Amino acid sequence: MIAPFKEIYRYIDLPIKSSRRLGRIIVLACHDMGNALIMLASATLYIRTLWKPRARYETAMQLYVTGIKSLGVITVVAFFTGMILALQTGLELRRFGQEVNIGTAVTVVMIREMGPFMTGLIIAASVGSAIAAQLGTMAVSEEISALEVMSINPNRFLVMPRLVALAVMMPILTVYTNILGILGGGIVGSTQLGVSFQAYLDNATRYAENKDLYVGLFKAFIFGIIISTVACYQGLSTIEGAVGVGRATRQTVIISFLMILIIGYMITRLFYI
Amino acid sequence: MSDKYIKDLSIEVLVGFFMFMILIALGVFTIVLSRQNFFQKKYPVAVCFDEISGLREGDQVFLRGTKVGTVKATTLENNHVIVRADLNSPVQFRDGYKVEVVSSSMLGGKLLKIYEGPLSALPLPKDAVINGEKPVDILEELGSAVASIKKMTAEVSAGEGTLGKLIRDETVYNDLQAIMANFRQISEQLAQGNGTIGKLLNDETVYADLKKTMANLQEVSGRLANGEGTLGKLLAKDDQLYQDISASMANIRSITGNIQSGEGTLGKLINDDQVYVEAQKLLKELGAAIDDMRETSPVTTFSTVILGAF
Repeated sequence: MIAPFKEIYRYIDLPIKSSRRLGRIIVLACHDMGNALIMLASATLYIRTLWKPRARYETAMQLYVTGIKSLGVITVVAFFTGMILALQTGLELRRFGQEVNIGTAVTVVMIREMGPFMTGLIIAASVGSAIAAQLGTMAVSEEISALEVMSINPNRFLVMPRLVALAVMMPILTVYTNILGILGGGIVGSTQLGVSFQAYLDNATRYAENKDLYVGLFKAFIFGIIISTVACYQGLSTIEGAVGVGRATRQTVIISFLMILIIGYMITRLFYI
Repeated sequence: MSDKYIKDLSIEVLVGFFMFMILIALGVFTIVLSRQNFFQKKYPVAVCFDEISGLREGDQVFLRGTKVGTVKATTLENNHVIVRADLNSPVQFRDGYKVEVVSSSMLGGKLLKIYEGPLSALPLPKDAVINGEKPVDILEELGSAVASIKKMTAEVSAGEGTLGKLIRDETVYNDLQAIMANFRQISEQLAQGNGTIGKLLNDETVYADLKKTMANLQEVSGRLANGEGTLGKLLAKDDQLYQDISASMANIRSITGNIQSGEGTLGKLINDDQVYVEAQKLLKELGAAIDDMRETSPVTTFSTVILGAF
């Protein structure tokens, strides 16, 4: 169990001054972040056990849940993201007679930013929240304690497969999102903006570079680690029964979204400025 | 095999298949974005520039408006930029060739444009150094154009030059005003029917005369068309008159021929000077006779008077 510190300080509403309340929030944030990173490091160290039958099965299941089960929603979101991008940029470019350049705009935006970003949001909202809810329920029903009693490390048994699954599947799903987004943009270009699909594809590959693609995939990889870490930590540190599970789920989505935005900006700045 | 094992296996296979497909897609994506065709033979070409104005690796190379390759690398060597490009087809550079970096669109981006030289020119040797043109910086050109416009507007504002004088000098305005006043006066006179043009515009007599003339002309042309009158007969399809005139002309030609050859009285009168000589002699004799008569006239008169008394 991770959360004795929380139990003592987080939910005891002491009559304290605002400055002390702020200090408590900062201390709790540092505590949470430190605990989460320790959990992440511990789970990373257990990756060496990935090929053991049970770990492999659990990882395959998580890959399946994260990847295959999310394909439906990702397909729709990716397709429409590309279509919206193409339509918005195309309508503006049409004013200058440059609508043929939507291929470039959609491709660069998708592979640099929107692909990893949209995939991260979808996975955080669907898989991340599910992980938090599952682990939170296990925590409040003391299944985690039972595992520890049986000398099974929750980081190895529960966190590591999810971490590996998300870290591997996020870039894979991002490639899928990129392809569908670019296709969606091409369909809008050919049906709404009078740009032939061939011209769209020629233009799409004109300015995008491999660096854009791989920086995007690197972002997705980092997002996968962030989502799995936040979700597992929030789930494992859940207290107070069903209410706590709901809170953990909500916190997972909020923190993941914020982290995706902030870290996404930092990676972009790191590679492009 | 148990159902659970089969289920686990199928999940692993499904996940593996999905990842495999996506990895293939990633590979294709990578190859496409690297803009390389591994199965096509490449023809490398190096061009030396003073500057390349932002041309980058991966930019396209165009020959006669068609894409023929991509830029592979740009390197700085000995105060020059060497641009290395891979072409899909060999290009034979000739005297008068031109290689330049141009903007691919108004939104930016560059491309390498090759003109291999006129077909009639001598081909360059294979080891010849290909030199590129200095690229035209559109922003710089725009800047200089804006500076020129600013200078021009300043001159115009200061009243310099024809345009400046047109705008600043009131003489032209005054002249134009005077011209307009004249025009107004002329139009008023025209409206009142003064002067020849005014009468033409206002008096219907000219119109009536013109109408009458046109009617006459119409009648004349009708008569001509109907073959009436001499001119009408001349213009008529019937060539009788022409035949008659032609016959008369032939006769006249025959008569004049006879006259010229001295035949007949008229011919002899014209060609034979005997009549002239005889006539001259006659005139001389007549003159002498008149002189004789003049000399003898007083004697005759006196004799007549004297003798008349008896």
